Amino acid sequence: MIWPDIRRVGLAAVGAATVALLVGCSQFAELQPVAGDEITSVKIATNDVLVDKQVDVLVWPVCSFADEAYTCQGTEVGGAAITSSVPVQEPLLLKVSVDGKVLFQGPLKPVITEAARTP
Amino acid sequence: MSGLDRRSFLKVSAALSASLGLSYNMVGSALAAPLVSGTDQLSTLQETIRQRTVGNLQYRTLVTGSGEPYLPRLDILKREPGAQRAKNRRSIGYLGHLSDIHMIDAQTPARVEPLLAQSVATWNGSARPQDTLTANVLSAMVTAVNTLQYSPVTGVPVSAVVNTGDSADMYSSLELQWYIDVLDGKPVQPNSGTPKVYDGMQSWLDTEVIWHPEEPAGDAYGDFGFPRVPGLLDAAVSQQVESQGLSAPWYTVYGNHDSLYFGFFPVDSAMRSLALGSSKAYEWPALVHNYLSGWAQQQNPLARFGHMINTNFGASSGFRDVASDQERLLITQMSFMQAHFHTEQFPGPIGHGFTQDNLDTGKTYWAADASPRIRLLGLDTCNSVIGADGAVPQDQFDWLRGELTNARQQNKFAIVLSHHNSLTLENDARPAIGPSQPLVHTEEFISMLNEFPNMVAWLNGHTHVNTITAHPRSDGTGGFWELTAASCIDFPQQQQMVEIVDNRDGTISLFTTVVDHASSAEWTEGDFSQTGLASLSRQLASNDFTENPLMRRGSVADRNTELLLPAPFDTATISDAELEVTHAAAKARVLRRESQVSR
Repeated sequence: MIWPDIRRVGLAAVGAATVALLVGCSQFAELQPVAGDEITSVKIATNDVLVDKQVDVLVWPVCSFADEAYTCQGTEVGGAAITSSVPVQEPLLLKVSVDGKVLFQGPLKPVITEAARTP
Repeated sequence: MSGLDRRSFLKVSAALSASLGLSYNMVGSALAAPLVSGTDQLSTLQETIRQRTVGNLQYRTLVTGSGEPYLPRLDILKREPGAQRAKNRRSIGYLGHLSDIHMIDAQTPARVEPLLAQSVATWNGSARPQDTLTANVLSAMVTAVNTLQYSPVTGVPVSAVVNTGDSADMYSSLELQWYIDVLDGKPVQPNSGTPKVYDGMQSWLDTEVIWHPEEPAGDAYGDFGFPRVPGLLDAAVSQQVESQGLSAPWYTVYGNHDSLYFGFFPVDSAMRSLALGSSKAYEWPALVHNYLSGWAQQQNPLARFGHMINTNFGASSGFRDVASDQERLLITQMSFMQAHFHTEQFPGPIGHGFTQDNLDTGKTYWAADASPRIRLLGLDTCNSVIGADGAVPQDQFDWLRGELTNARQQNKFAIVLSHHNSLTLENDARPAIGPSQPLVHTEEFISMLNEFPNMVAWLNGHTHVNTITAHPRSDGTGGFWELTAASCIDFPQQQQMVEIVDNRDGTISLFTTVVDHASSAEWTEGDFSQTGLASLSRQLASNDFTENPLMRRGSVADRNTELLLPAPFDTATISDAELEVTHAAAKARVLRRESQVSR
């Protein structure tokens, strides 16, 4: 039947038009999901690597976003710098270093998945 | 008891037995018993819950794993802690922290499940496989908090439980009362519409965006490997959920889901009518048109165009008939507070932080003492215009500064409670018309909190991720800890216990203990018991591919921790006797709840 398909398209147009009309409102900028999931994932994966590699941490990494990349910085008990970085791309690729020595380099998501599963 | 002399001990015992209706002998003998740390109670210190590595397609069941001991965090102290602190420490206070309970009436026409088909990324949370099981989870969480009602570190009893918002999922009065009743220890029937029969999206097999437990083949969840669980939906809505109720007084603040519809939108009359009506949307265009255009119309006259299109295209065809229920009222900002006065004297307190002054003035924030040395400051960081994220209105910011000043002068530890956390205080939406007050965002808020050494912890939620964040002062003299609890709805369905401990060496420690709800890690097929449904909920949540579930556990540094700080004042000014009286009152409340259960 053709008519239901046309009506479905019409319904989709209504929805899209309504959402689009909201673009004109000053509040539209806030019509977005809860913030923070991605940067939190970067921090968690970085921490998971540090735990897995048994790094003695004084200051756990603090993460920020700039220039299309997440970067995290912390301090090892001995004073060495802990750094991690994740450029925004798919898949997210994590690199964690302590005192300039790379501890881990690879996809971020499996780090979190493995930490949540039985060994 | 070592700090109280005999006369004081007898006086305290008599007062507590009288005020709580307990026998003098029961109170006296319990208070005379030495404190024993609750490390033998099952907790995440002994056992955690993990996913299996293999399963059906991508679906994984759960299993127990090894426990996680406390991890000392030195981010603020920035030096090795004293080795003798474990021998010398004493408890200032022990609290439970709940957040993001998301109690759900899964059958209300006011739910917005079809939005998942429009965009999973934008509308995740509009439907979850475990939507019908939230009362079971909260009841199991209450049991778990009671299991840890004596501190694993010092053995002191829990003196208060705080709830940092998003208690009701869809701005529903039913959801609101169910959550209050479960925390109070009253049974609830998590059903609306037709008695004992589930009637909603999860039973309509022609909608593909949701898990259908009767027959998942053909929906996205079935493709993922979700199981077939016939009978689940009717079992979930037909069984009464019993609850132990909390031992300690509990306090609450607003979350965005308690303040806006779906945590996003202001409510208009069309939404209120839909909630009470007998039509439920199953296609997102119809839902968007009927729910959102009313809001848009208030803001933008062009949206009237939507009504014209509706007339011509018949957008209301995306709805299906369901049983109406006049109990499905949507709440208001005021009725949220009022509902917290329809509660029990024990665990109390009546109002749960809100007072008559809040009802009289409309102020949505409050101050209360969890104990003589711990002041709770409950904020409303929700944006009342639009959006999930929040900010601190200037009037609350100014009020908070005054309250922190008072607490500092009184040598009280201050704990700030809010729903939103430091990642989510950037919402700057203002009313399109009329005056509005300035909104304070993360950087300025943290800077102000750090002016007060007695401000030791900021407890919040919102992101459903276990997160612990250090906020050191720039001059290196201390700071405070931000503790973000996960949720009762998304995996890992964990909450936390928090204890302030005086190490008597010029430092204090905050111990955080993550709490799994009291149900089996492994769900047994066909187990529709109350705890069985809670167990199934956690398993389903761990596989909810719309929610990035495994990340929400946080890392080891976000779960069981010892968070060190310089002591904010000379803690020797707090006598042992004073603390013992505080703990005695908390212990008597625990005894009262236990005596009620045993009757």
